[in-house]
Amino acid sequence: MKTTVIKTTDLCKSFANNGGQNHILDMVNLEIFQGDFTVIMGPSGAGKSTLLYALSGMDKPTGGEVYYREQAISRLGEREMAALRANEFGFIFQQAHLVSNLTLLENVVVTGYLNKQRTAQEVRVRAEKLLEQMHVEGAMNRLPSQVSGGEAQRAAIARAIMNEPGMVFADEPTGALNKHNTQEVLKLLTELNAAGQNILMVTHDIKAAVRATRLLYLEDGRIIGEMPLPPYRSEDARSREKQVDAWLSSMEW
Amino acid sequence: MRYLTLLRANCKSQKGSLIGVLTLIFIITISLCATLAIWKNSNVHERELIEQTGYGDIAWWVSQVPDVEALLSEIRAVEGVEKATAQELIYISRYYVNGQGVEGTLEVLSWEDCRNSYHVCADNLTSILTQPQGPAEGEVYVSPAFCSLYDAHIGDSFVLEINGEQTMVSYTIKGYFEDPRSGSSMMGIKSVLINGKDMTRLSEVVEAAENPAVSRTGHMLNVYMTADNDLTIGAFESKVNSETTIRQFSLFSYSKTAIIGFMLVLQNVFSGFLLAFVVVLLAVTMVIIGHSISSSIEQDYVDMGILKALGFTQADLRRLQLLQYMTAVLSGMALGAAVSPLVVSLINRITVTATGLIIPSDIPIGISVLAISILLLLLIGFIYAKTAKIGRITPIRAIRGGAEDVYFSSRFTAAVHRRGLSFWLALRQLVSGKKQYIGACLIAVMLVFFLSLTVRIDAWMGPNGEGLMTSFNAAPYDFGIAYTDRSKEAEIESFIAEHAAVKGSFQQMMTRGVIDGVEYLMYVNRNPEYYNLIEGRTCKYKNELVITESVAQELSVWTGDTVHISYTGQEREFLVSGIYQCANDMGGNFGISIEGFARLCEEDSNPDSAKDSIVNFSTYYLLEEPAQKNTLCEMLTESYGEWIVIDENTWGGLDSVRSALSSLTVFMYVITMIFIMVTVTLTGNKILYKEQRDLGIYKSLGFVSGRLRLAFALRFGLVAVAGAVPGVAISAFFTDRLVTSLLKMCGISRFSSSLSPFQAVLPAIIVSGLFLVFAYLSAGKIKKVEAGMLIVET
Repeated sequence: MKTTVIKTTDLCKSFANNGGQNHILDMVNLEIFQGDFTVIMGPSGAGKSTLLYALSGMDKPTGGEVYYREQAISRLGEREMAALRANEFGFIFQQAHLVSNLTLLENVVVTGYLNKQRTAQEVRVRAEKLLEQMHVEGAMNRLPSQVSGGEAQRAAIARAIMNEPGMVFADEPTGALNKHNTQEVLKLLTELNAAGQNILMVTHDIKAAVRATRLLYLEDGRIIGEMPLPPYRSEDARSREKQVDAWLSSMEW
Repeated sequence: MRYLTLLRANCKSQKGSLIGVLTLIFIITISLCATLAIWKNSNVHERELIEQTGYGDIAWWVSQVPDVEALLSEIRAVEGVEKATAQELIYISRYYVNGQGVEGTLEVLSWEDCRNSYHVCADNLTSILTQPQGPAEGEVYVSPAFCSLYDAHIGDSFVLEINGEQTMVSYTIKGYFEDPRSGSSMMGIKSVLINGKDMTRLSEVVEAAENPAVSRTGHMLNVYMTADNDLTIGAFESKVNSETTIRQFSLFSYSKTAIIGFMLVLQNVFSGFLLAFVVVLLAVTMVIIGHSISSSIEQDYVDMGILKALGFTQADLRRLQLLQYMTAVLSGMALGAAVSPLVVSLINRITVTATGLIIPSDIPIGISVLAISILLLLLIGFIYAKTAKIGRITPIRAIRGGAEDVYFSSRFTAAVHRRGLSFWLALRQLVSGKKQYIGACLIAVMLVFFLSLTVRIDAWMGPNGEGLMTSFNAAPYDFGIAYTDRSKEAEIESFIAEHAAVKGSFQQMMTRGVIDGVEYLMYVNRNPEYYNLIEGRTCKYKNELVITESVAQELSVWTGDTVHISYTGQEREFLVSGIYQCANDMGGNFGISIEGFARLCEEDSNPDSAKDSIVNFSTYYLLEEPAQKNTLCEMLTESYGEWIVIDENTWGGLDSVRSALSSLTVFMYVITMIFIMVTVTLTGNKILYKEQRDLGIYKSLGFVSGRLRLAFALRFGLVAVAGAVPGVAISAFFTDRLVTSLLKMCGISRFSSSLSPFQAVLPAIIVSGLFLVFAYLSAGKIKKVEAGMLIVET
């Protein structure tokens, strides 16, 4: 029996539109489990990113509830939400979104400072170690404007896992990267998941999706399909791609 | 039409900046118009009034003239004299306003002689009566300055001492009149108007009393120069003094220019001060506009590139920016000009009891239009120059995403630490984007400088105006004693020594003397080492004198030069041994020692006068504990009031000066606050707009809005501190010179301020604090920034 990390009940997100209602998320009920690398796919405008906002507490749903380890989060105040983000959630965006006037190392370190469990020295040591792990140790004292997109995105991953979060939310993390950097980032995410990190990722890219251990398909604001996958192995990459492609075709992707 | 459409759209999107610019220009225009109006109107009004009173180019106040007509004929015979007239008056040296005793020259004039030359004020002091009734018997008209000096009101008693307390004549204050000769609260001499019949009666009483030390009849002789006379006023005065017998009867003399200077000293000093403040505000506004233009070009980079792609030229876009800012500038100017008469009227109403004049509130069109036009041209040039960078925008760069990324590397980068994380982040943001804060920093420099200047003036003046009083005295003292009867002198000295620790004392008297033909106030001091010397040395020997910088400039002499002093018919050569500070009589005074005075009194045709003068020496005391002064003076009055008159080194006009300075200080602090608010809001909004992405990142990492607001506010606080330090330093270096040049108008030739460490940093604390608070308030919108903005919906 898998442990549930995130759970939603009748999750809705609607916008008023010319006197009517536009339902972006329509009564979504889903669970994200411990140890999974969950990937949400779906056509453009399906509501993938909106679902990611709602699950990560970045956006308040208009109906239903989101639970993180049984704690309802959609009505949390700013302070509680900030604490949750600092200690339990990590974010990787399509763009690296590093603070532009902090070096790569400082971007990671500042995140560590928000978590009180480590001393400043321990934070620094861990940040350096993570950046080494992400293969950007040579650029760690540079500003984001002085490094490549791939290096910046790898630093962003290090930042996301700095505080050993309960869940890493990744929104199209390879969307702005070239092929080589995409592979690098996906490899890192896979390794992280293999090491026990829960990851929830939204993507359009099949090559990214095949890294998942669980695939969800979202259309018109509803989860309409799900496919479990075994942990990723590079030698199975081609066959997994075919398998996922076939599944997506069945979803009319 | 294409301009109009874009202009409308730009004005809408830049609403905040334009309102800010409008507000600043509004304040500057009001301040400028009000300053010019006060300066110009008071000068014109005073000149008109003094012309109306028939004041000559020079006037001599004379007494005991056996034949006034003969003296006038003598004067008229002098080459260069166009005409000479006499006005009858009575001098009183002690009077009581509403029971409060006043020591000082009072000129009593007849209403009948003056009804066509003086203006009577309405009771509420807001207008002039067109058909005044004049004082009835037993009534007196006084200057509005009596309200601020002695809290006098209509219906209060006004008593003249004619011959000690044996003969007193009482009147009731009927109303107020504009006295352009001595109506200002800054002047020691005062004039009053009484009924013609009362004047006749009073003359008889005064003559019968035969006590010229307290009251005497006399005349004011107005002497006019011919239009083709090219002599200076000083030379002309000297010529009349030497070619007539006027000096034998003269009590004192003042040129029209000097009287106008005395009367307008407050207005001129404060106008000068306000004008300097307006210049600072204009510089601040230009910095803000410059920053606003740069930021909006950066912000609208893509739009401008697209407009260029559509066929708009660089000149079109610059013109558009100019029009956009001119909309705000012109609106601010129009509003400011419209409101300024109300402000001037309010200022005039508040200051009428200090100036003694009901100054018109109209805005002087010519000079105001000229000043506003210069301001406008300056702003047009500045804005046009600042928009030059629009030329660097190319359609292709705009389409590719706008201006190049800001490069944040800096040599001054400090590490970010966990302890005080908000501070370290603020410092990093500040150092990374320092260009954005240069404007705010410059503004902090200027505002701190100006506030420091105010603090320095305030500190110089002291809590009870003692600094100002010292400037008006030839030597510093806490209190002085004038003896009406010297029989108790030794006893009184022992009494003082017994009740207070005396640091020092000196004996001094005041009379009038003539240097190289020009009459000045003369100080005679038995202890000349006490003179407020600023250059050279004191008049140690009997052939030496010290003069003020004003006298030195007027006579073109300096330390080491020789002059001739005339006193009661004797003339002796003296050497200028030093320059000293004493603003009495607008700096028109000099000092000698008792030995020097004795030299002047040798072979005196009237030896009694020299003897009398010696008796007239007052003793002045400096206390170890100046706080003891009031108690000691009270005790002295109680025990020896019959034999002495105490000078507490204070002056009724001091309150007016202090309250004017306080109002000016409050005004400057309020304006400073508004400027900081506008600066921080405009700069802050642009920065917040630019940093939205970073703010979203911080929020996604778990930063709360409060911490981000604090970091944002700290940035401005740090910028203000960075500006405040040079501001304080510049103030320390330049204030004394700047204020000295302003105060020279009232004879204070050397302004020297010293501050306690707290006073020195107070403006810096205030400005930095205001920057911090307004930045914190302005950063309220950080709360609305959502981390969700970082996620791209696909």
